[in-house]
Amino acid sequence: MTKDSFRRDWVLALALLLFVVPIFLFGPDLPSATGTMMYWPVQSHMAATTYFTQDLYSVPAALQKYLNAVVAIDFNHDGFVDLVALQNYDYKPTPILAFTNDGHGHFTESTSQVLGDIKSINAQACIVADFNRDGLDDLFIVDLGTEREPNYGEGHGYFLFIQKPNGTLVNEASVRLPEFPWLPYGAAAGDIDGDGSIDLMVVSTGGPIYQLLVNNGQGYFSDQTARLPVADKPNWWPNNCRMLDVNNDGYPDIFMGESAGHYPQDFIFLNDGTGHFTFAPDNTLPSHLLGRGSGTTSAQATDLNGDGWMDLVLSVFDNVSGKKMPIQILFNNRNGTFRDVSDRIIGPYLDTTNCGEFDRRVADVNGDGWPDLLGAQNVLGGSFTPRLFINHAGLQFEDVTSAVWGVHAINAGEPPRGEFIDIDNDGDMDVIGVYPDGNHVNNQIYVLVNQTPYVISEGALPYPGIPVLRTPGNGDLVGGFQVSLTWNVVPTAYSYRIQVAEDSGFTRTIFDRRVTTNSFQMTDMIGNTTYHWRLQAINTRGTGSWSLTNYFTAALPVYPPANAQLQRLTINYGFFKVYTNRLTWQANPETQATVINYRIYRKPKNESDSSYSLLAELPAATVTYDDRGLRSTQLYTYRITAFSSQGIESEPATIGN
Amino acid sequence: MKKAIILVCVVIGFSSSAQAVGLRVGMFFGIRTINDAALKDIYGQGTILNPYLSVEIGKDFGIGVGYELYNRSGTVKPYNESARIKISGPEIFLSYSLNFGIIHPYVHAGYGFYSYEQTIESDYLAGYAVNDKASGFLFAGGVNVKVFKPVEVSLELKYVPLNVRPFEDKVDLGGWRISAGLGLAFGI
Repeated sequence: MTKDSFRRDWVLALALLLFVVPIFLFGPDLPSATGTMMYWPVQSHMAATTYFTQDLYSVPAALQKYLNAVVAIDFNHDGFVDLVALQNYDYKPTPILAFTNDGHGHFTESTSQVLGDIKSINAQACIVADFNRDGLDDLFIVDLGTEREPNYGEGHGYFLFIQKPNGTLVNEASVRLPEFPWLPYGAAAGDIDGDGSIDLMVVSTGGPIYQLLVNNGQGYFSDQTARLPVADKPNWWPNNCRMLDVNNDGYPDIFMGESAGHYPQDFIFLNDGTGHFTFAPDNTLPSHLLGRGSGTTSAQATDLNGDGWMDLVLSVFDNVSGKKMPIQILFNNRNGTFRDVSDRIIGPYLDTTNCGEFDRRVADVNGDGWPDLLGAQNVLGGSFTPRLFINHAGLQFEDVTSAVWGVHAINAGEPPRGEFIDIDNDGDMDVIGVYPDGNHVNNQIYVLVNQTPYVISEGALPYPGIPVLRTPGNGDLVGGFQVSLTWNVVPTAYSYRIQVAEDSGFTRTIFDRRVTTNSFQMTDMIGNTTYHWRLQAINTRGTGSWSLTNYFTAALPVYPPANAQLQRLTINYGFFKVYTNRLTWQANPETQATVINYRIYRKPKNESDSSYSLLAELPAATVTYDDRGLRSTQLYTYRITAFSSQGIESEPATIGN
Repeated sequence: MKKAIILVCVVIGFSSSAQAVGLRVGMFFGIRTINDAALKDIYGQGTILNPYLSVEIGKDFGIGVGYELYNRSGTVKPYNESARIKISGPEIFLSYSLNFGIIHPYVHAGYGFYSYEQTIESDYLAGYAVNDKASGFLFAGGVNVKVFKPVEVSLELKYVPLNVRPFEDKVDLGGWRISAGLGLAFGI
């Protein structure tokens, strides 16, 4: 080594040291990209490496007004979703904006090329669908118009943007749609008559005025409101709606939500199979979450608990306090009626977080096969923060916002608009929304990119192998209402397609989902039903062959004893006192199985659950048990279970001193 | 026990300093109460037998011994378990009496040495055996009425305060006795 090279090496080493040490001292900078990018790792309840990064896109200064909403639509049919943004400025006509996706989830403003000079006033509902069945996405928008006297409602109407082969969106509402008789506010889409074309339902604000628009198959709509029941309910003001098949007859019914809270619950129009509707019985839906005076501002529909029936996620508004706006979750009772399971939602801001008023707020973001919820938290003075609720097999909806998006609130502004969409075509769900700016200088669109790293291998990756099903065993009788389906990990597979059906030919499929782990929690099983299940492994090469089909039978449900209570009795023998813990319970009326006995387990108070031991096994006719001869210091916790003739033991009812 | 020894010394002192003038022997039969509310609830009022022997050792004074037996069965709620209590033991006493012809009112003060026992038919009371001893003062007053020599009948009211603590709680086994007696009096 020469003296010069020696000196040069020392200089390089010193420079390297000066460069590296600050990095170690002050930590690595967060990854950056166009606009602002933030990076948050997640906690254990998400896939260990799931996180979102944020991209921001500014509205060109010349077009700045007040961002109201953003809609994902592939308007140039390149396979990547683009964006249409809507503004609202003092109830004056403002430009509708377009942003083109470059194929990597990055956007450039392209309004003039895509839309031209199209202005809306107060867009409320937006629906993306292929209305004219040409294979291209179209866009339907209802515009409420001016919400201010003396010219209230001025400028209201519809937009129906038909996508053209040259990648433009052309508003053809005037020739394809009739006029709405009042102020349109909410809308829903679905094929009500089974002709393969998307029909529309529009509701108003301020009265029971709605319009059913039936598609002729080419994207031309006629007013078929006569197919709907007459709104003979005084003061009923439905202003939001959603099409869903509540009774699994294959035809979409219509959920009619009312935000004013004039009725204790919402209503449903039942489709008779020909696209004609009648009111469902009043008790089809449970009461509003916050009682009378509260109402529903929007509804999302999906199967949240994997039972094959559509459930509802409602955004509630308390008209009494004017402050509370929680989420209400209704599970389908598998007969077209619903029950409230809102107590399964957990999170820090439940009173002020609902699902906003936009579409596509329910999707599986973490690849576990269960649809998750995109919430909107009312923070301060009308600004909103998006919140993410992870669905744990329909049993719990957990707010994981701080873990996934960080405690640095993403201020989505007002109104709370954003939606799930796969913005970068990587197979997972991203989030889009808007940051409005009342000063018209910094309106931005945000994109939360789901960075779940699905395994992508290079080279000659073989097709994945065939999964081997593990539990439950083939032919097993499974108790309870849920079962964990597990299988052996297939090397190179990054996800699995799981099918469960009521028949071995899989014609009556309960669900068909993609999951990223080698287990799946199936819930809300129906007693005495045999389920068949099979799997395919998936990797970047493609989809492997189906596994063998196994089946298991769900035992008739046996519920924990009802109304379990403990009474502490003091038996005074004169010279001493002895205590009795008297346990009482009732047969659970929901239990369909034949209960042959009850089992009582006991553990000393404050000891771990592993300390439970069987204390007594009692005939089914017995609904009381005295644990006698106890000293004053002997305090216990008890579990009472029901045991069915099929050998299934219920979950316990737990009581204690 | 110290109290009892003192009392015995006093009685012996009286006996040695006075000339015996009479003997009285008989049996009381009566009812008694138990102060403890729980025991009262289980057993209610019970009967007692109380044989006695006393000696007149002066014009108005006497000393005596007796034996009280209380044996009662009952039921413990809410399980209706059969229960039995037995309280018994010897008593010694001093007496002072007046002579109004055939009527002799008197008062007693003494000390009793009792044993108490409770048995309950239950499978849940292992470790709760009650079988112990206790002692305490007794106080009584009554009247002897001569019927014909040497037979007399008596009526007596007695109170025995007696607290015990076989387990955690103090139990008041004391109570009133009201008894009628039949006896023989010689030389009185």
